[in-house]
Amino acid sequence: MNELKTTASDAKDVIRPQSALSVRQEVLLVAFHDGECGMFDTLRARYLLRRSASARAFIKSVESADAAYRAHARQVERDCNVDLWDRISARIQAEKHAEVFLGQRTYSAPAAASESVWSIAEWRSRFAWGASGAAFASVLAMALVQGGYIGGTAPGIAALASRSGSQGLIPSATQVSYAGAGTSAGAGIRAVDPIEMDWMRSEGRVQVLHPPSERTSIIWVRPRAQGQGGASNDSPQRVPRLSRSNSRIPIAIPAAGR
Amino acid sequence: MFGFPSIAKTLSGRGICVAFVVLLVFPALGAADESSPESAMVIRVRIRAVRALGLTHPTQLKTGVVLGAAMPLPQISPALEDISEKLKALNYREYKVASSQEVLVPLMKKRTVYLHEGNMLLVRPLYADGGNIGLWLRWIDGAGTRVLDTRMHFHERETMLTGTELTGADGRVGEAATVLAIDVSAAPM
Repeated sequence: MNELKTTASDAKDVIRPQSALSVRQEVLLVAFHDGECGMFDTLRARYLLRRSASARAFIKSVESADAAYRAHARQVERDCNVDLWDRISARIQAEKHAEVFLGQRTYSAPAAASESVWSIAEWRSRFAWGASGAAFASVLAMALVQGGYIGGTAPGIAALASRSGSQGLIPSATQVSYAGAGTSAGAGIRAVDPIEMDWMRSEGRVQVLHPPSERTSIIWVRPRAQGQGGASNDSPQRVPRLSRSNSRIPIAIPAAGR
Repeated sequence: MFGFPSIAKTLSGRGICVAFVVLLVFPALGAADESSPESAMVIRVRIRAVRALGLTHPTQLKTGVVLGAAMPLPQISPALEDISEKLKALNYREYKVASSQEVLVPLMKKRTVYLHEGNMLLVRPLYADGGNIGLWLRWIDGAGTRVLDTRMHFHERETMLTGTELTGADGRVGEAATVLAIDVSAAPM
């Protein structure tokens, strides 16, 4: 009603088409019905009610609307005013009866956790999972690094080296150790430091020589003569060949002798 | 059966200790690895190209034991004194230094070294682990022939020799040769 009054005060004396009363008169009558008028407005409202049938009809409609609203409010109050304790006590009785047949109900873990979210047990559990995951990731990373899949160790660099211009890798490192060359191979057998190589390729014929007075080897490449195939003309069957990934450039492995 | 609570209970005791130690140790190892000398290291590659002249034995390389005593001593340049014993095992009368270069190459970087008479050596250090150094080598001669393409593991303070025979003007192969003496060592950057 107050809201209506505030709105109507701005409308001044606007007469609505379905009513003979102006908005100001309706507001006056509503205020009179609610008992909010002062002495002067009360006299005005009574004077209006005596003089105007429309005012009387309006005040009756206001009274009927007020009665309907009050009745509705009472109904809503009855519907919403539920006695929860009856339900709670009924549930307690049901639990007691069930306990006789099913045993005592135990509280579940989430209920306990909800009471102490930051308890020590909860912390330990969370930390155990987090630490275990971090440890596993660390071990995995170290294994990859040690295995050469990451970083700069030799196996991991094989792919880089192959991309850098070398093709047809022999996967594992090869140690080549031959004593002597040619006919004096038997005389030159001695302890030498092997040449460690992962792979070797040449367009010529490769020999690994071991000078008798030295501990290291010499890689000697004899150029391939024109028209000469992958093997030597004088001893083609003695040139071992493991594989050939490129017909023009064979994989060269050191020959034991010529 | 293997639900969360059971695993957490299993890991809660000893697992926590192990995981905690691992968490402390592995980052320390990683930090140590990052600050290791290898990460700030370059590889010093010294390449001496030697011209070998005068084939003494027409058919094969001598071995020193069988033929060395009967052969006259080869003339070896004083700059090649440290590898003279190795050169004596080859079958030539004279050894001269054709070129000598020393380059510093960071790990995993490729460097092209231009030698005499169009010879070219591509090097890429792969790793340096203690006294061992991994090196990718590609030797291309003046005619564009890929003489050698290999990935080797060098021992520090050792000279690796590789050589190839040259074709003379008369078409004879082996009258002269080119020998590369390669020294590799790791040096701090």
